[in-house]
Amino acid sequence: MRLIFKRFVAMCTVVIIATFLLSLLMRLLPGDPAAVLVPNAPDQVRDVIRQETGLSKGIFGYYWQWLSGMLTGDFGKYYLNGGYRTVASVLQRCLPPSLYLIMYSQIVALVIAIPLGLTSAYKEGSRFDRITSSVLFTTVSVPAFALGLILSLIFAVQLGWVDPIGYESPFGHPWQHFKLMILPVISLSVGLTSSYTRLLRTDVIATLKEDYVTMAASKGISNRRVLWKHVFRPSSTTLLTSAALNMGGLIGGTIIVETIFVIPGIGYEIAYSIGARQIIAMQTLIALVSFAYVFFNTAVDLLTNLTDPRTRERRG
Amino acid sequence: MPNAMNFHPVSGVTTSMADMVAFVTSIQVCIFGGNSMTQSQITRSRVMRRIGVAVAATIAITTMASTGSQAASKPNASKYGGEVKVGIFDTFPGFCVGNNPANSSLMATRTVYETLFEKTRGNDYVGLLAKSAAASADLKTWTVTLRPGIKFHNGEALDAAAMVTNWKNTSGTNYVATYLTKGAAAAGAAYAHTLGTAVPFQSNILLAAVSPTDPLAVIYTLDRPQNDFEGTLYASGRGFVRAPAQLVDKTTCSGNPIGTGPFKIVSYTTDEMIVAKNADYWRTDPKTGDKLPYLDKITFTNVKEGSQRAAAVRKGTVDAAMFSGASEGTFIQDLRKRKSVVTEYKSPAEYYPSTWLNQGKPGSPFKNIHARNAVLACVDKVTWVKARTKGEGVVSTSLVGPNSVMYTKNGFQTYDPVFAKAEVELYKQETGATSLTFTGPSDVSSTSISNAKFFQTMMAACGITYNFVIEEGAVIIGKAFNPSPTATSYYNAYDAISILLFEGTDVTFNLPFVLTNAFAPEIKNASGTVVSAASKNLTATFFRASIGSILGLNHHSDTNVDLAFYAGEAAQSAALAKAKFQEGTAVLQKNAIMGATFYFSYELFAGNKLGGIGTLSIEKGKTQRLVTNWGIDWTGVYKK
Repeated sequence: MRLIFKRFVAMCTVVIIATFLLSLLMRLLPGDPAAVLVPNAPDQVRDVIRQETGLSKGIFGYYWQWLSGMLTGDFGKYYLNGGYRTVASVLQRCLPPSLYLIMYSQIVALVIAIPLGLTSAYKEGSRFDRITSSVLFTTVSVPAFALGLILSLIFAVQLGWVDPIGYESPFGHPWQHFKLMILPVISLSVGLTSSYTRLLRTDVIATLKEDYVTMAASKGISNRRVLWKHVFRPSSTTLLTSAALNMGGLIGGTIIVETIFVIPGIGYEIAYSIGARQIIAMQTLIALVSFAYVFFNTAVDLLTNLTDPRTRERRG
Repeated sequence: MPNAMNFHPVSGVTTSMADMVAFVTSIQVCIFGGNSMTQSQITRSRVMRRIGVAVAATIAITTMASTGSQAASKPNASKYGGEVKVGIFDTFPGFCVGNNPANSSLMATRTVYETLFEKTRGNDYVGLLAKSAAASADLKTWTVTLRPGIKFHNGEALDAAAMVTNWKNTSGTNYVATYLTKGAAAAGAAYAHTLGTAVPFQSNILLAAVSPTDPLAVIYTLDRPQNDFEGTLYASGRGFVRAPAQLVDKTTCSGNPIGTGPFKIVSYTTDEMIVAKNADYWRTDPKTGDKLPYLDKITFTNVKEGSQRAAAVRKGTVDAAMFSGASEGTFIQDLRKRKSVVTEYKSPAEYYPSTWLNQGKPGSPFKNIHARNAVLACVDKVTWVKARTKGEGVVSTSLVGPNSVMYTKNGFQTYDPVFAKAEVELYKQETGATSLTFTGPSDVSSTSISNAKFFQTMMAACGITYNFVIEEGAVIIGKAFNPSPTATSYYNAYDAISILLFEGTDVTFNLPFVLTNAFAPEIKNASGTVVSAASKNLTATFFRASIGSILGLNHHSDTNVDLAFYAGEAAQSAALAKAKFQEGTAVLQKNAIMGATFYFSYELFAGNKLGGIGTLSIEKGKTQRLVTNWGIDWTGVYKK
């Protein structure tokens, strides 16, 4: 409990510092923020926005108003000429598609990377290992957007198996949802698979050289059992940390994939907010990505403590 | 690469048949897979095979019968129903007066809103919501009579009072009246949402009033005589008539579009707009008497990536997709080859991107005519069209294309690098500058950046330095059309900007961009005599000193331009009007106030299952334009 409390305090501190710096950056952008929000509106409209957002209160006043709003569920607004849309309503709509995309990409990447990493490490230096390494090096160097366009050309246009664009909810149209998510998930997970496999391979190779592994093998325990029970668990810390950090990073990293495949997710909204200079919405969305980073980092830290006794011992 | 793709187009019928056969076959393969079957399995397989064949035959006969009956009789009822998806390339900024949907999102918006007049393929105007328009002999009073029985989506009646409310809320009239009586804060609080680019476009209207004898007649009193007033109300397809209930609610105005159109809004986000059939729509097809519209629902989705938009229309994920000939030539040319899959609908090349040279900004070199001449003479238009539009553009020979009443080659600067270099030297001699250097913006898209680099290279070949800054499109628009300049931010922040503002065949939409002030100023001749009085419009007087020149990105002061175009609009004959409009264009060209490189078209590619595109007429013999920058009209479109 003490550890959880300490981690929670640390997480809050990091979030506050990160969001304050973000807020500061937004304020340092050239030009009057109210004029950037509604470039063609008269001064009277801009005054109303300055009051409403706290832009008239200086850097700290503005940040405090924004933070208070976030804590009470007021995530700000997209300002339009003649009205507005709340960021909360946009989040409600765009968060689920992004979370599905990220979740599926992680699952696909891990399901492929774990057996591949273990086998490559176990067969270190073999033909299988060399081929796997070469393929992974190649795939990790292909950007997700390029891969997405190539996949779209082959599987959507040439073969006609799936649609090149669109999104459906898994509850309303599960089969269509599955078909529409295949290409974006592959585009995102190929890079992840490469990096996870290589991370796991390196750690497993190191673990295989530990004395207790030799001991387990000499006891006559099957190779499969040694690998999965005695080698994989202690070797998975780096993989777990990397996967958790990617959960946060992928929210921002889906921008291009969501744009290409027209998935109305948070990445798509961040891209729009940047393009339209909706700095309040931009700040909120980027803050959420930062929060996701910190949250998953903390979560994996706690999880590692639970799963790996050595971590607890090191902390005393 | 796309040209090399092996694509298998199939018609609607063969697709369904092929799918059906594949489906039945897959069931059989699944059930009868494997070689070593027992006798009971074999017996079962025979039974199942017979069932499979029977099912296949039944489905085939049903499909053939249904297809055949549709093809044979084609009753009008078969046109009704269905949902359509359309891929576009613009976002939805909202629907209030200050929100300007661009091109393809304008197409979606026009399913909800209608205009008083529409432009026909013969380039004249035909009443849509308006039944007729009549001008007084002096062309200063126009009476527009509305068609009876039209209602907005919320049930409000379209009458002259609603039109007056529209005018008051789009021309700045309500804002100014409140400003002058109650102050800036009250005006801002109540009517700021009604201020938009429509204001300068309506600067010539002194008053809009309901006729004392006809509640459907609106009497527009103008400041200057105007022979093309329908064009002002049409505003190149943007002269929407909104329900008063929408206009007066400042909090929902942008998100709650209420029009008279064939479709009603269902939902919208930045990148998607869904509309559903307006069951009470007022129009019928004049040829068949069919009640319109045919479609139940249309979903317009912004597919930013052109290759994905093209892929989607080829695959059938979307039923139609729109493209810009200025930057998407590769995809247009690829789709054009696939006639069995998609049909191309192309606008005339009536979109004229211009190079606006800012004479008003402190530090800009373009106050000097040699600097302007040098830049305009240095643009290799032929190479630009080949390289940057993949041949989809048309090389400019005037600021506007040959279809425009403004078109003249008189004074238009052609490509002449020798002249350009000489003008650079003259500029240096006259100003003492060591170089001719200017800045302009490029938006963040790779196309724009490539265009800017190409332009930079061309300028360098003439000894001119062009520096471009990469900024977001919204920022560029905000800085180019800055309504609140300060000591450090001018009305137009750039020395030069290439942007599409000119379009179409007439003058009204282009005019506010080239006048010295959209709100007619007092113009004197060389001897000091007033040759054109300042507008008496209260709103014009108010705005003249603030946003009067906001649309004129050149910020020039050549009032000969104003006088020529005013004279054209006041002319009593079409021939005289044309001569005066051409005179105005010639002044702009001879004095190198601005330039043009190419004209281009917009295209819509539709899957072959869509019918009725461009066939619906408003009145007999009066069919509106097939494709414009706002795509097509969806009112008469149906699914085959």
